[in-house]
Amino acid sequence: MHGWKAFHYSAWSLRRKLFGYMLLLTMLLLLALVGGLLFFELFDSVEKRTHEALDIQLEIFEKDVSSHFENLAAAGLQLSHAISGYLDDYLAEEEIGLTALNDDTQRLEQIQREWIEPLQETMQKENCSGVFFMLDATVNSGVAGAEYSRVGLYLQRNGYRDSADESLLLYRGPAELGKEFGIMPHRKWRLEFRTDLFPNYRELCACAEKTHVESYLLTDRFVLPGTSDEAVLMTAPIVGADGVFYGVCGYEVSTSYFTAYHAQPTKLSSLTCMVVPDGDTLDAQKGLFCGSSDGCGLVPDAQMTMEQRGSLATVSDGDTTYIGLLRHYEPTPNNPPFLLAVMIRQSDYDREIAQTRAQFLVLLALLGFFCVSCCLFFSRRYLSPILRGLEKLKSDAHTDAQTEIPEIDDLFRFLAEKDRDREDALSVLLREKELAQAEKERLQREFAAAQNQYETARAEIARLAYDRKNEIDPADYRQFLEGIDRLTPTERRIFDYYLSGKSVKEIIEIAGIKESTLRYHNQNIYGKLGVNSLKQLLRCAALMHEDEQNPEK
Amino acid sequence: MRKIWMLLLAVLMATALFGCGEASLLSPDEPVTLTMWHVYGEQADSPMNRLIAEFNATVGKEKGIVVTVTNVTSTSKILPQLVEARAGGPNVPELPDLFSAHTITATEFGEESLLDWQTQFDEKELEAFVPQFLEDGMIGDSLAVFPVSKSSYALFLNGSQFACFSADTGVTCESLATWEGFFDAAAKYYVWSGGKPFCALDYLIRHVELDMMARRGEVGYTADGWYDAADASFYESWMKFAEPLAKGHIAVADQYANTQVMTGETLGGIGSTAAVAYYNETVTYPDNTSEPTNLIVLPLPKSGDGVQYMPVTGVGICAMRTTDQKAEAAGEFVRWLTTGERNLDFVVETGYMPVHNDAFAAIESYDFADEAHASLFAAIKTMREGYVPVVRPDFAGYYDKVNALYDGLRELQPVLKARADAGEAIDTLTAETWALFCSIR
Repeated sequence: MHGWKAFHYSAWSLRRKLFGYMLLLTMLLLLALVGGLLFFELFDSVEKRTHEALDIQLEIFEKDVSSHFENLAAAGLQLSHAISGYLDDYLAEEEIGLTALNDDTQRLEQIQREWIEPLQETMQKENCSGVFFMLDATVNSGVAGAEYSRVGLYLQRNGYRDSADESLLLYRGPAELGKEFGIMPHRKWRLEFRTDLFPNYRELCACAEKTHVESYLLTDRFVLPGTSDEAVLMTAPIVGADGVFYGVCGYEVSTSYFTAYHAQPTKLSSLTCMVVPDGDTLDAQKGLFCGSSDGCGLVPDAQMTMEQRGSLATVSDGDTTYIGLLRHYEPTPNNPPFLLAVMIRQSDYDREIAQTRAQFLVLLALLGFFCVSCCLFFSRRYLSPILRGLEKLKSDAHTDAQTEIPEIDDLFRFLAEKDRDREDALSVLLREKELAQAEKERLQREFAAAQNQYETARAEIARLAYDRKNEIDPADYRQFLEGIDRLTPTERRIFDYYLSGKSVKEIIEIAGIKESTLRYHNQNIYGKLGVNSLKQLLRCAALMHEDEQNPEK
Repeated sequence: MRKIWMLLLAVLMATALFGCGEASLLSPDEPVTLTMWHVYGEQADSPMNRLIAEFNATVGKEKGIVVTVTNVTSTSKILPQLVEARAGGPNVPELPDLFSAHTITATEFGEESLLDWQTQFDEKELEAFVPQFLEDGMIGDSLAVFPVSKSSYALFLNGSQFACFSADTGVTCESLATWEGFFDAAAKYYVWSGGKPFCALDYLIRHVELDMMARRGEVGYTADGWYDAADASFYESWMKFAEPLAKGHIAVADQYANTQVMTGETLGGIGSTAAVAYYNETVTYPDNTSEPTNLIVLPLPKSGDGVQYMPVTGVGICAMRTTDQKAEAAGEFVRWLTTGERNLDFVVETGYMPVHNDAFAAIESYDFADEAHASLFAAIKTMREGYVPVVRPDFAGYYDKVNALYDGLRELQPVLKARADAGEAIDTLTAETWALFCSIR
């Protein structure tokens, strides 16, 4: 309360008060605006905004990945079906079993020659970095390690997809055959596959027992022998009509191909999308990843811990922490579940929060500064002519003054009229004053004359009184004085009327009596006072009055 | 009020002045990403990718730079790919921030689009590099191609097969020190192997050129940037190689000689020293038998007894001229990549010659991981000590002509071999190769 008193609001100048009110108004408006924006959720939290952006990215990424792998699976099953059908017919025609193909270079090359062009065609059609088929046979069962060696063809894309310069390479298969079809050997070419190096070979063989449409499998990520490239294979077993396992076929998706093919258009900085086997940790070394389409995106290469925090998951490799969204995904019926992860760096997220806060504070500060400046400017601008008008009022120079404010001009006109009225009234008053002064002087003169007359009269009265006293018989006067006490109240009243100088007429009116009644009372009064007439009564009364005035006489 | 505005103005001016300082544009909190296309380890193990991973995890992390490899390609393919990327289109990748290129590739791509590395390295830093390699990367006044590694040519042999051949014929590594000995060995191998070429050559025309230089000291070029066919010395050198080629003793490589060595089609190959990274550990024959390659690397055969020449080639790194921040990041990356010890590790693994003076000095005492690399750098040492390095021709359109020549020879050589085997006169066959050469315009 004391503080409020110290505020001395009443002592504030007009400008300060106006500024204060304007500031209060703008601040209230600002508060209402911010409150409204918050109420209608126009100020989204960074977490909500990030969650929404990541959710959209995850939707797109999941759609991309699932349709990619589904298409490859379908193509793999189709290829497997086609090769098994061909082999069924071929073996039947040749009247041999699959094992008879071992060491039969001629027949094996015939089969490879038959399939090299279809593989080239399917390679161009599908979104993959390689295509292969591997038969359960070898060209030379006598060499060391022949139990693992399998004949087949493996073509790889050389250069990025759809490039005018794109060509194919022969990673596995007869080099001469490849050259014949314009496919140069890969720099790390080998003639045959090795089952001991083939990823998930046992699981794939087990898939051969299943129905054809459920037999496909996505392999683990593995290093392509002889290179530093890594890939996964969408594979399907090749099974004969009689259930004989002929081999495997499928499509390769290298990590670099996946990264380029699935690069996500995004506005998120450092976006990293991953598809990894599900587990207690997120093992980036076993998964496939991509970043944004501009080539950005960090590539974590370690086992990472996962923790759900609020609506977002935190993923860390101990060095770099990411936040993102995770979703389960099953690429094939024969694979354990995978996780799809869409993440950004925690540092970017934290920075966005800090930036958002800083922007909000700066915006508030700017708005506050703008409001204060506007209040100052407009209060000054608004009050200046008023204050100038007031100054003019003070200086009495407002009569003909013109301001920018009509109300003040009206006030000036009003005050000018008032001034004129006042001046008129003043002149009238001055004239009246002069008249009054003259009257006063006249009355004073008359009063002085009257005073003189009065004094003269008084002296005359005194002289007369003295004379009368001497004229009136003292005994009569004594009877008069004694008779007064014997007067009735009505008589006394009438006596007093006479003493106060009232005429007969006046007494009749005042007392409300008839003249005859007065006459009656007069007779009684005369009798009791020992006088004969009103004149004598008044003389005695004057004497009595004189005695009462000057008792020493 | 006026005072407030004056204060604000002062704050703004002070901020602007401080902002004009030479502070780094890099921040570990906001890393800048550099995309890169390179040619180290296509279809093979890529030491460059490992180095980049190391850079990202160390200096890159500390300074806020992430280098991402978006394409591993080859020197012959990178220019069309860059041109295609610049034109844009569906499924075409974005232009990279960094890419490997020969100086001629950078010239054809357009020097005006490329960063001048002199803006990122001061004179003192540049003094530490081999001046000739820096000179090689200059386009006009701009150092557009920063040397990272330089290669030469060497002779690679399948050691297992050569040991058998040597035991049977008496041909030794020393026999291959001269072209005469080399062709003699090739003729013996042709007989010994039952008609297989002894060696595939990646860059036949360069050997013709170097032979001519060794004999005459210079090579004549036409105004169109091609060899002067009217020069008798050039014809003589051509015929020196044309005869074994027509007989099938040697071959123009299908693409790279190492693929023909690993499939057992030839015993050896002559190509870039960088090919050491691409040779398989085993040679596999069509019957699926295999043997260890036991790679032997020898210096280029000499031409006569005069001055010998060794080609110096190899790509450098170019950076697209984009933002100052990316330029600084590119400078940091290349500085890190070319420092002495790291440059040494890199070039040893990739089969290149270092570009840093310190790395060159240290190579003498380097502990090589395998015999093949030790053999390679022994060959390089021999050539550096006894050969004069020459850069490759840098004419516009030169490589189109070279490729046309090689394509023609590849088509011609099996026909010539068959005709030679049938007893047709060699002069007639070699004349056809010369006619092919003369047809290249």
